Amino acid sequence: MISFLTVLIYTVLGSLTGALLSLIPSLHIYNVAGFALLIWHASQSLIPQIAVAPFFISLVVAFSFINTIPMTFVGAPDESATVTILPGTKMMMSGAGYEAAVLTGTGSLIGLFMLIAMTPFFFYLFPTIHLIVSPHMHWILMLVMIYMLMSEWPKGCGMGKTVLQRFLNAWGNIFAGLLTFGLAGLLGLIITSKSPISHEMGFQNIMPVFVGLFAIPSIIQNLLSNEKIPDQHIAESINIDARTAGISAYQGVIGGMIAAYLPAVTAGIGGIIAGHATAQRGDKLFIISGGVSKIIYYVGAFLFLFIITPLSPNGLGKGGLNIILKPVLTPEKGDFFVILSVILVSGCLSFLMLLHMSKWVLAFLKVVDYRQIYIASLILMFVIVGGLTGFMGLMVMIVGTFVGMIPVFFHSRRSNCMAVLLIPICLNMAGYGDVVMEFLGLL
Amino acid sequence: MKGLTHFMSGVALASFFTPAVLMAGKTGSSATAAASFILTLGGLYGIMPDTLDFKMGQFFSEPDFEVDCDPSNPDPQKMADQLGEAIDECWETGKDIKVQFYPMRLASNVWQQYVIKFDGNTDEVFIVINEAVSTSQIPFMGTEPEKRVGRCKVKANLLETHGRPSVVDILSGPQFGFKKDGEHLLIEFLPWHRTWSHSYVLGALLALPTYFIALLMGFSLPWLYPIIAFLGFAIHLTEDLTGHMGGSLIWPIKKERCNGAGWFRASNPHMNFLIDYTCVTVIIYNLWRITPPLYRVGKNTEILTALPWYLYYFVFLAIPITIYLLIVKFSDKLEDSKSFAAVNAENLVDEFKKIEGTIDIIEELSEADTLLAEELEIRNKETKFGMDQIDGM
Amino acid sequence: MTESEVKQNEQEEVKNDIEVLCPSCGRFVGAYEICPHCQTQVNTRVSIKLVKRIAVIGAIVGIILLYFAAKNREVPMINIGEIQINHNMALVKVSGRVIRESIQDKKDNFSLTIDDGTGKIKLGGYNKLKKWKKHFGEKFPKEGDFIEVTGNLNITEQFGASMFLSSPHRLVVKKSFNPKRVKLNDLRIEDVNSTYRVTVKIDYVKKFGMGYSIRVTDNSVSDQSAPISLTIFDTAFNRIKNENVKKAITTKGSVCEFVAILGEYKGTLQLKLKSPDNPNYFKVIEMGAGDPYVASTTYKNTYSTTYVNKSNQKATPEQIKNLSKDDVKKYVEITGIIDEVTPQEWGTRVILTQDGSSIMVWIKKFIVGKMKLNLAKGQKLKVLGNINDFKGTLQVVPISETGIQEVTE
Repeated sequence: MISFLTVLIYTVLGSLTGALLSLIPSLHIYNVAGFALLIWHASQSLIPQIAVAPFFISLVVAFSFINTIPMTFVGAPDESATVTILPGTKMMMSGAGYEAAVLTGTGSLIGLFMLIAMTPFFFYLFPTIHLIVSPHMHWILMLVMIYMLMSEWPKGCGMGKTVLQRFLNAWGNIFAGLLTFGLAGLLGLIITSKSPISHEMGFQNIMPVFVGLFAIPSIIQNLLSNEKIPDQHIAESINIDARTAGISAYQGVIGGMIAAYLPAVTAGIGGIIAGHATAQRGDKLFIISGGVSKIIYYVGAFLFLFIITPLSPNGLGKGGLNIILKPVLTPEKGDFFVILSVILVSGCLSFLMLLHMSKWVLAFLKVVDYRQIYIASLILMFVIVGGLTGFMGLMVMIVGTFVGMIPVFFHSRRSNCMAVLLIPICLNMAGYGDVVMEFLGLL
Repeated sequence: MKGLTHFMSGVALASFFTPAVLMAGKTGSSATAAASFILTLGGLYGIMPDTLDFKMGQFFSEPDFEVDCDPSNPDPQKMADQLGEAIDECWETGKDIKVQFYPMRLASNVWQQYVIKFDGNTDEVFIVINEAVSTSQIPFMGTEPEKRVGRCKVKANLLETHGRPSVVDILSGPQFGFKKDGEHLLIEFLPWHRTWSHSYVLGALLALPTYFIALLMGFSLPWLYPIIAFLGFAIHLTEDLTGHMGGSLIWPIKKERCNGAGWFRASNPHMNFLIDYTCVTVIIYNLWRITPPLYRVGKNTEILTALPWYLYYFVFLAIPITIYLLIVKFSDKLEDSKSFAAVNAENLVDEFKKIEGTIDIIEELSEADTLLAEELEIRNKETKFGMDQIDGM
Repeated sequence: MTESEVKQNEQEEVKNDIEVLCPSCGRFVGAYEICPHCQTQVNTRVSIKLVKRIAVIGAIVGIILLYFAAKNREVPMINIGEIQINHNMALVKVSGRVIRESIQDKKDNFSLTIDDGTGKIKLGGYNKLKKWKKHFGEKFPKEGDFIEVTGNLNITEQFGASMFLSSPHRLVVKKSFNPKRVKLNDLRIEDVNSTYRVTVKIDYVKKFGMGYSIRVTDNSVSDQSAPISLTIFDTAFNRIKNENVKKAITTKGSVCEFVAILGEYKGTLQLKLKSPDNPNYFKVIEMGAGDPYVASTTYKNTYSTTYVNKSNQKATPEQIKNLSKDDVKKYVEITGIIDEVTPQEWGTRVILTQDGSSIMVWIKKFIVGKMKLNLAKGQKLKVLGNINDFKGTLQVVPISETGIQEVTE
C-alpha cells in the first residue's frame, strides 16, 4: 500500500513539475532532467528509490502533452519561416490554436492507448526483431541518413532566366540542408570523440549542443519575427472522426516506433518516413499523428527499457532519459506494467492540464509580449547550460546555435541537425569511429 | 510509386544476396562480417532516378515560353493566349516547344490557385483562376477574382492524353511539352520526367563506378557492388511501369517514353504501404536467414534460427496484409482518395462546364497529374515536418 | 487603441509589406534576397539577411575553433575510486594494473578489469577484439600489465562504472607484466591475489571431475617448504598450448617454472595458473621420470596439510613521516588522527595525520561495508595495511576490516 501511494504521489508530482517546465518555450525536459537527477542523487535519503522511474517518466509524459502549448501559441512566424511552419502554428495564425492544441493532446492520448495495445507485440515480437536487426544497425542508420538527404526536394520555385538561376533558386534549401548535415556531423564527431566539456559533467556532454542546434534558433526566429499572435477562438468541441483518428494512429505509431527504436532517429525523421510510407495527407491528420508519434517516441523509448525477456535481458530502451537515469535505475522484470500504469495516470492528468493550461497561456499572452517570454527563455538556456557545463559548454552551445540557424533561415529540414548524433553513432556502430577520430587527430 | 517505396524495394532486393548480407552484418554468426554498407547501395540507387529528375533534370529543361502571371492582377485570358501562342508555334514550325507555368504567390502562406485544361474535342486551352489557398492547399473561400476564365482556340489538332485539368498552386508549377506528330499535336506533362533518367542503360553506367570504388578501397567481392546498385536502379524503373507514365527504358538507344501498364497510380497510399511493408518483412527475414543472431541462455550462447520461409511469410506477411485490406475495404475504397487540389480543380472545371457547356470531364485521373500532386504533397509534407523542434534529445 | 496607434500599426504593416515585396515587379518575395521572378536585388529585412550570414560564417568558424579546442584538450586522469554518477559518458583517462581479462573470440569482444588502488573498473571492447589484436599483436594487454587508457565512462546502477574502449591508440601499456620470481617459502597470506613466477617440483597429481589437483614443492632442497596445492580446472588445462608443458605438469617429479596467482582457501595458500594460454608463462626444466597422471590412478590420501599460517605475521609499526617509496608493498601499522573522511563510490578515503605528516588511507568498499566503526574527524586510528604507490603518492590500503582499529586513550 505504501509503495502504491509512493508511486502515485511521485507520478502526480512528476506530472505537475513536467507540466510547469514544459510551458517554457524551447526548453526540453531533458535539459532539466540532468538537474533533477543531481538533486535526487544528493538527497537519496529523502526520496525513495521506487520513486525514481515514476517521477522521471511522468516528467516526460507531461512534457509530451504540454509542450504543445508553447509550440503552438508562443510565437508567430513571419515571412522568414514561410515554408517551415507547422500546421498547428498555421491553425494558430488563423485563430484556431486552441483546437490545434487539443487535437495534438488527443493524438497523444491515442498514442498512450496504442502503447498499451501494443504490449503483446513488445514482449513477443519486438525482442526477436531487435536481436535480428541489431548486428545490422549501422547500415540501417546509414539508410536513414541517405533517405533524409535524397528525399529533401527543392523548396524554391525553380524560377530564373538561366539554368543556373533556376538551379540556385530551387537548390537553396538543399544546399543549406547538405551544409547543415555536414557541419552537424562534424560537430557530432568532435563532441563525441573529445568533448571540450569538463568530465565532471560528462552526463550532460550532449545537452549544450542540442540546446544550440534546436532551442536557441527557434528563440532567435521568434525574436526576429514581426508578426503578432492573433486572437484565438476557444472551441467548445473539436471536429474529429473515427477514420481520421484511425489513420492518425496508424501513421503516428509507425513514425513513433521508428523514432523510439532506431538510435539518434527523432520523431521528426520518423514522421517523414511514416508520412512517405503511408502517403496520407491533411493538416488535421498531421497534427493528431504528430501527437501519437510524440508520445510513442518520448515515452515508448523509455518504456522499452522495461521489456525484459530471455532475448532482451537488459531491456530495449533508447533515448536521452535512459542515458540520464542509467546510473540510478536498473529495470527489473515486472516493472513494465507499473510503468505503463504510471504513464496512463500521468497521461490522463496531463491531458486535463493541457485543456486548462492552454486557456491560461492564451490569457497570459494577451498581457505579455511573446518576445519577452523568449528573452526570458534565452536567459534560462544560458543559465542552465552555463551552470551545468561551464564556459566550454556555452561555447559548444553557441557553435550549435550557428549550425541550427542554417536550416531555420534557409528553409531546409531541421532534422538534418540530427547528423550530430547519427553520423558518430553510425560510424561507431560500424566500428569505423576510431578510424575517423584518428584521421581527424582527435584521439 | 513513391520515393520511399523505390528506396525500400532496392534494399529488399539487395538483401537476397547472401554474401552482401554476410558482409553487412557486424557480428552474430557471420564469419565474414565486415560492417559493410553495401546494402545501402540498393536504396541509394533505388531512389536515384527521381532524384535525377526532380533535383537536376527539371532545371535543365529550358522552356521556350514561361507563363508567370502577376498575382496582384491575374489575367487568365492573357495566360491562355500565351499558352495558345506556344501551341500554335509548335504546330506551325514543327519544333518541339516547352511551356513552363509558375505559381502565383500572394503572401507568405497564400497562393492563388489556377487550373490548366486542354480540350482535345474543341482544340481549346483554358486557364481558370481558382481561390487563393494556404500552403496546406486549403482554399480561402471567396478569394477568386471576378474574371476567372481564359480561353484560347488553337490551330493544332490537340491529342490530349493528360486527362484531368492540371492544378497549380503552391511552391512550383508544371512544365508542358508540345510535339507535332503527324495530324496531331501531342501534349506531354512534365516532359523532363521519366526520360533519360529512367533508363536501364543509364542505371548500368551509373552502377559501374561502384565497382572501381570498391576495388580501390580494397573491399571484398567488388563485383557485387555494381550488381546491387544496378538492381536498385532497375527495380525503380520496373515498379514505375506499373503506373501510367512508363519511362524511356533504353535511352539513349530509344529516346521515346513508353507507356506503363497502368495497374495503379504512383500515389496510391495502400499500394505504397503494402509494398513498403512487404519490403520490411523480406529484409528482416533475409537478415534472420543469412545472419541468425546469437543470444544467451544461462551461460551458453545459442543461435536464433530462422523460421521456415512459408511459415514466416504466412504469419508476418499474408495475415497482416489480409487484415489491412479488410480494414481498407470497410473504411475506404482501394482506390486512392483524390488530393484536395485535384478535387477542387475537378469541381471547378465542372462548374465551368456548366457555364460554357464545352468541356467534357475525363473521369480517369492521369498518372502525370498525380505525380505533380505527389511532388507538391511531398514538399508540403516536408514543410510540415520542417519544425521538428528539439525532439532529438 | 488610439488613432495614432492605429496609424503607427498601419505604417508598420506597410513597412513590412515593402520588405517582403519586390520593388521591381511587386511580387511577394518573402525572405528571398533576389526576386525569383525578375532577379532584382530585394531590400530584404536586414535582421534576416544578417542572421543568415552570421549563421553560415559562425557555424564554419565555430566548428574550426571547436575542433582545435578539442584537439588540444588534455583528457583528465581520474582515480577510479572517485568516479561519480555525473561522470557518466565523460571521456577520461585511468591507469592501473590489469587484474582480469576476458576474451570472447566468437563475438569479437574483450574486456579488461583494471585496479588503480582506489577501485576497479571494467574496460569493454565490443566488436573490437580482432582490430585490437591486429594493432597490439603479442603486446595485447594482459593480466598484470600496467596500462593507461582513455575512454568514455558508462555508469549503470546494476554494474557500476565501466569504460568503453574505442581506438587501440588510446591504450598504452606502461609497464608489461613481469612477475616477481619467488620461492614458495616466501609466500604470505597478505600477498593473496598477487602474481608470481615460481619454480616448483610436482609432488603429487590427482585428477578430479573437473580438473587436476596438484601439489607442488620448492625445487631446491635447501628451501624445502610445505607443499602448496595447485588446482587446474580442465578449461584452464586445455588452454595450455604446449603439450610438453601439459605432460610435465601432470607428471610427478617434473620441475616446472610457471606464473601463478596466489590464492587462499579457508586460510590455506594455494596457487592458480595465470593465463594458461600464454606460452611465455611456462617452462619445463625437467621432465619427471614417471608417466603423466591419468584419471584411473587411485588416489590415496596420505598427505596431511602442514600449513604454516603466516597471516599472523606482525605488521611493522611505522611513523607516517618515515614512510617512503622504499616501503611500498610493506605490511605496516600506522597510527594517526583522522583529518578528513571522504566517502566515495568505490570506497572511503581517509587522511590520517601524525606529528604534522599525513598519509591517505584507502578503505575499499567491501571493507567499509564490514566495518563496525564509524569514522569521524579527530578520531585516533590504528591502521594495518599494505603501502601502495598511487600515482606518486603513498597510501595505506588495509586488507580487512580488522586492520582498522580505533585507539582509545
